[in-house]
Amino acid sequence: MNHLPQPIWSLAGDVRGARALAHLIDPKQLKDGITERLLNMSTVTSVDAFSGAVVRASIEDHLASVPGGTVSIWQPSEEPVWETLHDLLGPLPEGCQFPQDTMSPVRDRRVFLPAQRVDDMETADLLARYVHGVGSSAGLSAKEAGFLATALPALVENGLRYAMNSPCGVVVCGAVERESGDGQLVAVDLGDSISGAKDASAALRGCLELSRQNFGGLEHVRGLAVQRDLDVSILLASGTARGRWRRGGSWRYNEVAFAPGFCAGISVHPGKLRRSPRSVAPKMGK
Amino acid sequence: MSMKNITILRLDNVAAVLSTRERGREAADRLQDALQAGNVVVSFAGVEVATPSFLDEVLARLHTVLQTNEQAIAIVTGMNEDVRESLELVLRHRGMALGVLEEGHIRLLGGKKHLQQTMAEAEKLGTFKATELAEALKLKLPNLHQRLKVLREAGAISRETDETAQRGRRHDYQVLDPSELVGIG
Repeated sequence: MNHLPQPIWSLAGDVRGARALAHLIDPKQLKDGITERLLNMSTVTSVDAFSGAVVRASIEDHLASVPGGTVSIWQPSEEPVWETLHDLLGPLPEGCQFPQDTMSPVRDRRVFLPAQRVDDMETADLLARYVHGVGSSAGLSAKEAGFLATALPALVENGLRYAMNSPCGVVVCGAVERESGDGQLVAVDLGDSISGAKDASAALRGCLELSRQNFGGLEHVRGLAVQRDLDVSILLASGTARGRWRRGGSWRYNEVAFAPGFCAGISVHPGKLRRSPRSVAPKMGK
Repeated sequence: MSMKNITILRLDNVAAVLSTRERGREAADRLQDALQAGNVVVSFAGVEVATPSFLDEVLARLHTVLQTNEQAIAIVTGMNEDVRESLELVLRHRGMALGVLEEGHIRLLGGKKHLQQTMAEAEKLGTFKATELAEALKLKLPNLHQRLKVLREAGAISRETDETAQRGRRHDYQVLDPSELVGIG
């Protein structure tokens, strides 16, 4: 996605995982009177929960910050990618649409939580309950679904507490990734408490240390992964800072290109208990 | 030693998903009030997800209350696997154990194996003096008192001073009778 103010955002190729973060729109970017945005995803070849959360956050930011703003999405030309993206983005918010002649694709049952904005803990709790209930339909084991359902309120609570100025609130998205089979839960906000810090890397480390000392949400997610004997990775991204943890290891940090806001992504790598998602059924047309 | 009132504190009245420290503190207030009136069974039946944040607030308060209230019992029941995992994480973090009613028995969640054996023997006795339990476990009294302290602070047993004791200070210990708790959970 180009970060210059222009009406077209273009995503191309593989936009899964940390790659998706390069397309997160900085809310500080000048809107320059542009009300109608086109989100061109026609050449996207791979998407996952990270892509869903990032795209939805950018859409929400535009709709929230531009009065009367609209977003149109050109869908990926590859049918399987379009199937997944359609369900990742879920029911689109008012002011955002696919072209009117777009046919709804076959549903991708791997998506267990379409990307959506969460503004309060009541909604977060409802979504946790939903993930707890439908995770097995997406192919997660009961243990994995329970883990992600327990993690969801913790991620949202962190976002609501530390990113109060986020124009997109906290956006969450969950899906089983098509190739790896990872069960992903991603939370993205566009607050600047860490990304706007002079030393984002130090701020990210400080945030993790605080969580460890206070037995906070991120520490719970890490602890529950160990407790449940699940092979879990956590990716934290804010500004130029990245933090990665995988069960059995310690936190590792690096610095890369700037991404606005804060992203916490949890991936549960498939274990022995997995089964295939339930058979897919065609979705009713719009 | 008489069996006190038992209050059933159903947490599914709070929500099916228990999250945030704020809501945990509210539940902890209710638990503290209930403990002032007698013994408490905290039921997680109907609760689908409980976050460690919520549970940490409840357990922190429970620990504080039980340190000063030797006569109260607080046990939990009705947990699904996910709630149980969250509870175990918090118990380990706090170095605590907790009395749990499951499958018709009072067991100990968290804590070391020897404490769980002590709990099982205490449950068999129901109401007992330390010497009786020491005899059943073939343990010396000082060792047993260490274990009883942990079980009491876990809310799994209560103790009251034996006013009839002729010499020294003696206590009567009590475990809730699981047969009186049938249907709870």
